[in-house]
Amino acid sequence: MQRKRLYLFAGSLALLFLTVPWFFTEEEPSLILGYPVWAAWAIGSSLVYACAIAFFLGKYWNLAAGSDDETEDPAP
Amino acid sequence: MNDNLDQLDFLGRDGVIFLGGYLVLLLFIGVLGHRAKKAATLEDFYLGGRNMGFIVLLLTLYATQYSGNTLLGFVGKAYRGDFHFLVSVTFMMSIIGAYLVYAPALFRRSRKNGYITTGDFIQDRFGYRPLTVWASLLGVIALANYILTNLKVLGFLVERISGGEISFAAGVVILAIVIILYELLGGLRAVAWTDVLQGVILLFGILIIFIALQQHTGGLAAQAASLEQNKPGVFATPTGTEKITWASTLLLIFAGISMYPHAVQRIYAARNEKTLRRSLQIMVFFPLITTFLMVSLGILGAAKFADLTQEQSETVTLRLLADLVRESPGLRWLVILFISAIVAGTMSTIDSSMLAISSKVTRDLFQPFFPGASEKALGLAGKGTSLALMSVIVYLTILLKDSKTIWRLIEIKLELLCQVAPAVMLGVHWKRMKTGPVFAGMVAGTLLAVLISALESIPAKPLGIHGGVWGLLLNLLIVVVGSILMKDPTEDTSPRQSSTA
Repeated sequence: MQRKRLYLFAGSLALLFLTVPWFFTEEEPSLILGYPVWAAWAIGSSLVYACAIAFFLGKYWNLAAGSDDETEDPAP
Repeated sequence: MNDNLDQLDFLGRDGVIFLGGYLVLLLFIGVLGHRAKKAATLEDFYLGGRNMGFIVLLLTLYATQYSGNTLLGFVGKAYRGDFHFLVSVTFMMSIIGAYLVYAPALFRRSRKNGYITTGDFIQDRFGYRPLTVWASLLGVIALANYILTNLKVLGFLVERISGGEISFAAGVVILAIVIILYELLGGLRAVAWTDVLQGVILLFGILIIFIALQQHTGGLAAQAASLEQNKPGVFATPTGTEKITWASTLLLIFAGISMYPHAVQRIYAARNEKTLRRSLQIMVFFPLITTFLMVSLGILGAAKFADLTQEQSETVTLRLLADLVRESPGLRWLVILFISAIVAGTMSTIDSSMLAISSKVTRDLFQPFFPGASEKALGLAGKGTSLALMSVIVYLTILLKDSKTIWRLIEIKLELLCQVAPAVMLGVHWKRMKTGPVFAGMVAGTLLAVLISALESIPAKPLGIHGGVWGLLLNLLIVVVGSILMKDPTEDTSPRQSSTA
């Protein structure tokens, strides 16, 4: 269970760092609605990150809290 | 400041009356908070009796996290930093990512052990008073800085709004008095209820203003050519070092802002886990309708106004509004709304920070030396602390109004605060973590962060990485390696009884 928790947190941190436009290199990038494509990546990947965090909070709250039963509903 | 802002009559008498009425309403809410008091205890005063419902929790988290800085400072940074400052959208989300790591576990411990401050957890987990004091002092410094910079924003706003009739100093004093009054009256209840009002004004203010300015300017798509003309190369992809700084910024905010004491208090104050979880699930999306919109306006401002100074750049939204109002004078209410949103966001941040400082000083620094003090005595100590601290901070705000050199030290608040993160984020999960390495790591990380930030002979961001992040990395190394290497198989690592009494 400790390992699962570690994967959860490491995974969320990895997603965070993937929002950085590491792989873009063009000097004159194309534009999407006035935003350069690498900026569009930053915005789009941030939205994905937000969705992931919201999902993790819902699905893995008990795991994050250190409970052995990740399916247990949170205490009222 | 010259040009179009000088011609704009910001609010006029009706706007000043509106703001005056708003301040009276805040005081009224303070009275309501006082009447809703359930018990004369620290828990009731600082945590609202741990009974905060979903809407209040969501909006108080929102209003506390987004301040006048979002509407002024972020816009100015976006003007100067262009699309690179889109990192701010992600970093505001990363705060919730950080809560995922520690909030569920910390909430459960807080219910079991009656925590009121971050220091309560640290003392309970590690049982070492110097560590708790060090962590608490880092929190107090960060919060005091936060209050000071936000009071400065308010002071300048009031001076501007009143056309100089109310001076900077008088504005700071008046608003500080209003804040301290409703806070002393109603504690976290009053603070949270005013945050609901302030959060609504902030949220709708930002949305309406963004939509209005988008329609007026045609948005970034229409202004791209103008932007390129004003700032050649503005669309260029970040360099390698800039990408590293981007990642460093994310880590700094992830570890730093999530440790803000007033945010931790709100985690403790949630009615139950379901309420906390739902609030966080919604909060993670708020940067898309707050930070992203403000950053876009800053970049839009770069397309419209060339060569603004740093100070002028922080008024970009006002300049855009001034343009809009010049063409359509009937939209002057937008300016009132914008100013109100800044005031609302800034006051909500100050009142939360003030309450958190008071709780830290009372609980983490005062109570350990007076373990027999009654709840009433502690409550009075807390209120006295609020009053005394606010007086000092107001004095410093007025004194340092135009000071630039002191700000360099003040700006390292996040670099200091993130040094608490390993103790909390790892401490709630890792039973093998040892007290010695935690304390050594926190001290070493703090000193390294201060050294890098304070010494002019060292670049502000060596290899593109913030001094605070270097400190955090050193901190983590000491904690992890030290805890693994220290052999104490018989050490009792179960949570101790709270030793705050």
